[in-house]
Amino acid sequence: MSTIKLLSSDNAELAVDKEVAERSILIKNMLEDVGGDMSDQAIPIPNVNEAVLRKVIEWCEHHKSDPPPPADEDSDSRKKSTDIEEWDQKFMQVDQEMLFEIILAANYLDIKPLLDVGCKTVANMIKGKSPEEIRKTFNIQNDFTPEEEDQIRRENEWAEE
Amino acid sequence: MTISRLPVEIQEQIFTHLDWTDHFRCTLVCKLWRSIILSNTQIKDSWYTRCSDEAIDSSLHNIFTTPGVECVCEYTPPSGDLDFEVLLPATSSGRRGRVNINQKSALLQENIFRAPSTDQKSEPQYFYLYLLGIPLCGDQLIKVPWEGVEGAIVGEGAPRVSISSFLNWLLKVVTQEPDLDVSVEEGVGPRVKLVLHFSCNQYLPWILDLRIGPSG
Repeated sequence: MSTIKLLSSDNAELAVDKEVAERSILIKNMLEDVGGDMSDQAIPIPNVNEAVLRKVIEWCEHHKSDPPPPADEDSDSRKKSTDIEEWDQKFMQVDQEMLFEIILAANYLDIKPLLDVGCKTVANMIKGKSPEEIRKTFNIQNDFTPEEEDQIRRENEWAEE
Repeated sequence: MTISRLPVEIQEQIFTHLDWTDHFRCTLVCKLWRSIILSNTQIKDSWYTRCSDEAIDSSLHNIFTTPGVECVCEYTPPSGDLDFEVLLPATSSGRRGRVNINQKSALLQENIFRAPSTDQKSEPQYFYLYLLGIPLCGDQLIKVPWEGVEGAIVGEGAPRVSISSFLNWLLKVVTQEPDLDVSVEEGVGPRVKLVLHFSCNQYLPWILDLRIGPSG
């Protein structure tokens, strides 16, 4: 099996099986463009640091033999559900900083299933929480003025349980 | 790195995994989330996708997002059939839309209609009424004896009832007990017309007034 090298934003060189790296559509297309032979040259991944890249590779290793996602990617059941398989749940048990970095990396590297798992993980952190709990969870500043908040509260009283 | 600094399209993707109750709580978190959710038609469409019929989907979406919409419900005792005819405002080309919704629509069966709870249980309860999160009757309070509404779930927190049950109750009140807190026009016959006027405030569709009168 052929191996390729990836170069993180902080100049760490990571060797990866080609098949694993090709979970990233960005890398897959890149390899196709150069005819597949990148054995002696590292592919620069300028947006992703070593720690995050290692996590992403770990995910790709575990999921290397997954069937490709269904073509109908807007299928409702997939979109709506926040079910996450057990291995992925454990994988996503990281601090928020890392979680968001993984999401950004998955987006940049075009790894849709990983992006999906990341978004579902965040959605699960929002689910069922009150606005104040959500703000605490994500350290979001409440930027409504007291007047705006009052007005919105009157319009949305039903949402406060 | 914080959630608010993720690209907007990723934040949108996160919201697509949530349902409308979470969406509304999220609109109260911060200005950015409020504008993301209220400006995204895909997210707003998802609030209505539990209807099986696509035509109903889009017509319901229209009802709740179009300013100046008139919704006419015709009630036929004793069968209790309830049919909605929704008149959409004239477009720029002068055409006026019209859709019909049957009360069997899945959305109307769901217990999502709710009123804020009150602590004074012994007092008569007056509520602002909300339809899909939209305040009914504008600023008017309406008295609702929830125990008289078939299928209403009264317990902890806000009473919950489906739109279909609630409209049925409302129409029965008008036909059988015309002196309750709902204004009734002269000459109410066996067929009753319920007119809901919609308008948009700054953020959400708002039902300005609810009039009940004889079928025209």
